[in-house]
Amino acid sequence: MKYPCTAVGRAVAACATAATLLTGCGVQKTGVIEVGGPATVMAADPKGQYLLFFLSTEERLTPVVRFQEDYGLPGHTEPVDAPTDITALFAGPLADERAAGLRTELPKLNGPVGVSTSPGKVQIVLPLAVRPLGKPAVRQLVCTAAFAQDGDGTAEVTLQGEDGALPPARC
Amino acid sequence: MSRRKARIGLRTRLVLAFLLVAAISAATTATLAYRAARTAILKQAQDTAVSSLRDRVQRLGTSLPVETQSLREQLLAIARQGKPRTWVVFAEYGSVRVSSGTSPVSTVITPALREAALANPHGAFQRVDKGGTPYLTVAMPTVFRAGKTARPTGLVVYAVMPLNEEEIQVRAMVTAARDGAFPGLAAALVPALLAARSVLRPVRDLRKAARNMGSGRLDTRIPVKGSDELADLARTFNESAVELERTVGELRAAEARARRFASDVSHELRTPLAGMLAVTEVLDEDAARLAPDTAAAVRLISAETGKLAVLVEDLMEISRFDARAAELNADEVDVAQAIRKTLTSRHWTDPAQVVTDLPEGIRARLDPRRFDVVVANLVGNALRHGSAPVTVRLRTETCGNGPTGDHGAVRVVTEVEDSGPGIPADALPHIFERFYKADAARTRSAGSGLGLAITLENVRLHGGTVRAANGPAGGAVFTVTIPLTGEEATE
Amino acid sequence: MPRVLLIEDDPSVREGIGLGLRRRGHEVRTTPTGEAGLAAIGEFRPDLLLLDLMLPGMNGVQVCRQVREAGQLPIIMLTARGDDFDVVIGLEAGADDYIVKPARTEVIEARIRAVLRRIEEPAGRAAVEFQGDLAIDRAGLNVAKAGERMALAPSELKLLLYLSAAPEQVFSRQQLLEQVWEHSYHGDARLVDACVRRLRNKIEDQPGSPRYIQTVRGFGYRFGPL
Repeated sequence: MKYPCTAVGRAVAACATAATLLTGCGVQKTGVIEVGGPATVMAADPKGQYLLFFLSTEERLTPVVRFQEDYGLPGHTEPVDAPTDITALFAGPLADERAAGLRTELPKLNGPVGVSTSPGKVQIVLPLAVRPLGKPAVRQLVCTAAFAQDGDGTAEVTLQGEDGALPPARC
Repeated sequence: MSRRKARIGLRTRLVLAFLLVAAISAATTATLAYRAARTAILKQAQDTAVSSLRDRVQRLGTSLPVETQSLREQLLAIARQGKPRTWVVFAEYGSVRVSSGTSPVSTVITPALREAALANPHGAFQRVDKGGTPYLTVAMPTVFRAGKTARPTGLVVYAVMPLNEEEIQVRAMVTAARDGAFPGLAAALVPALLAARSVLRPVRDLRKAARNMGSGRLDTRIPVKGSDELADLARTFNESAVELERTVGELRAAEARARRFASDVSHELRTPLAGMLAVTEVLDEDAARLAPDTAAAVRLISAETGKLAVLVEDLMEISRFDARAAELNADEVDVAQAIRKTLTSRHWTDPAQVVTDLPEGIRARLDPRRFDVVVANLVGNALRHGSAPVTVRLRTETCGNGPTGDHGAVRVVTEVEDSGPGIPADALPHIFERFYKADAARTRSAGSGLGLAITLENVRLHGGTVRAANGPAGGAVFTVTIPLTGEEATE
Repeated sequence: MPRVLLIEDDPSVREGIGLGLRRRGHEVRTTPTGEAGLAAIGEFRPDLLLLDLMLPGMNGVQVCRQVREAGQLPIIMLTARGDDFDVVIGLEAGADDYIVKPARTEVIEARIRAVLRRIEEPAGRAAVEFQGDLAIDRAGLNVAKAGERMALAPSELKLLLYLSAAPEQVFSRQQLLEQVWEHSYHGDARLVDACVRRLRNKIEDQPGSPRYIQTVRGFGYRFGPL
């Protein structure tokens, strides 16, 4: 009894396995699979464009483009006027930017911004205490300043406030 | 349990095993092929979708922050150019949600895909299943080029494409594999049966050969084909058969030698006896004229010569039976007359000695000489070992179901009963053995000691039986039963 | 007393049988070989030949045939085995009877007398009877077929005379053995069968479908009906 049953049982089991293998799988779900690079939509033009970094709803740095003309400056000057740029950043997103869900964590600015540059380096002097600034706020400042310094946004940025300087950072 | 085991024979097991192997290999092949084909189909669809979405999105003209109205128009254009099929395109930027469809937000795109698209500026896809329909969701984050580096813009375009057609193709492959497997299995049944046959034929041959050997045909051999295990088995069988045949042959030869020796000895004794027996008369006649001692010696020699002649004759007869050289010279005779002639020729005619009950008209096909020996031996034995009067009865009987199953066969029954004390129970089974002495005290009987053995052989030669028993009156009863084949034999 | 020629190779058998028969008044000549025996026939003129079947050189069956070709000398074979095929061959060769060795002298003598004895003539019958083509002379003891005299061995002649004396009467083999050969009822029926075959070969036109000596299956033989 034992032997034939196991023989038949094995055959049935094998057939059942084969059947499920064949029929039980159509198109399966997958995890997230990365394929290739992103889509490049535009190039930042260092001449006459300001890149300001605000925060999206998910706390991500999101760039917006402003032109020098927006500030009454002649276009296509090089480099962009960093103090103007920083000041605009502190001013917060415009209406259409706010409509797209962008916001800032920087406080209001009450005083002029000082910028000193050397090749690959930017020092921003702010009329406020920098240490209490949150991390997103610091990143907003660093990235905006870096892109104001050169088109690559690779410059090392040092934030100098009333309470001292933060360690140099890159965007 | 063992019956069940026996019912599932070797053939069934072989065929099942063969089919099982065929099924497993068919299933494995089908599964692997299916997987490869499915992967190919889906990969084609996915790669096409991802790269075409990337192409379309790269042609997108957008400002930062995005301008909702123009973005929506561009999404509608992308949606129309969907590849490989139409898709619904969604764009997400900050809290902006725009789509080419009716709903600005897709319910199919998973948070994991969103997370991956925002965290890592790489194209990505994910297959999801929504309400039984498989979807391909592709995420295409956008970046802008700033000098040598690229930075995410925060805008991610998603495409959602149902995989219905791929699903149908994949399912068609499954159906094809399944439909191919069953005829394949049916076709596998043919080689399975052939293989089973090729295994079973030697097994059957072996069984037949073993049965032949069992029934005494020791020259049975199996043709050895090939060099597999079954051939080894056949070879071993043949070797054993050779050995067995040799051993049995030797035994038979030894037995034949022993028989021939007995026959030769008896035969060699006949020639001197022929000379001696011819002159016993001379001795008997002249004994009276000799000195008493010489006369006694001469008479002794004469008498013993006669007994020796009878013994040698009986030994010759027995060895002829042993050599199966005894012939039945059958003739149709009147049985009562034959018995009477036997009694008369032996001078057993005194009613105080022998009483007969011999109904007339029973004719049977017998060898008269051998039947004479049978009757004479039985009556002589009864007179010697039992006591007079000896009754000889003859009758026929019709047996309803004889030992051979022939319905209504008629047999001649001859009974010889004496009035003595009967045969001891312990002697009955041995009474027909050669030189058997029922009375141990008597070392040598008047007969040769072969009389009843010869009787038995003679009756057997007629196809009959002889039984010894003790009758109700106490005397020994010998019953000879011989088939009455005369009527059929002489039409 | 009959003159008996004994051809036997074994000296003690030769001497024993010779001694026994001489005691009973027979004139006996013995020879050890067939060749010597055949030579002795012309000179000794025996009434009967006792012939051992197993002889060195020329064997008994050959001797038997030669004697039969020459005449009607009665022949009794001496054989070691009664069941032997030799007996049948000897009977076919023309022997009238046989004796199985060893045998007592009285048995041998009884056979000799039986073979030599003439059939008792039925009283009041014609000397010569005509049955079909056969002319049977009971007094002269010879048989002619279509005028030609037939050479019949003693047993053949006796069988024919016995059967033809009672035409159409059936005799069993056992009866014929008792009456013609003077054997016991239980004697060897092959004697009868062999003799009938020999006789048919001589007197029948077609031995395969006999006219004179007919077989009655299950019972025996009869003469005629013609």
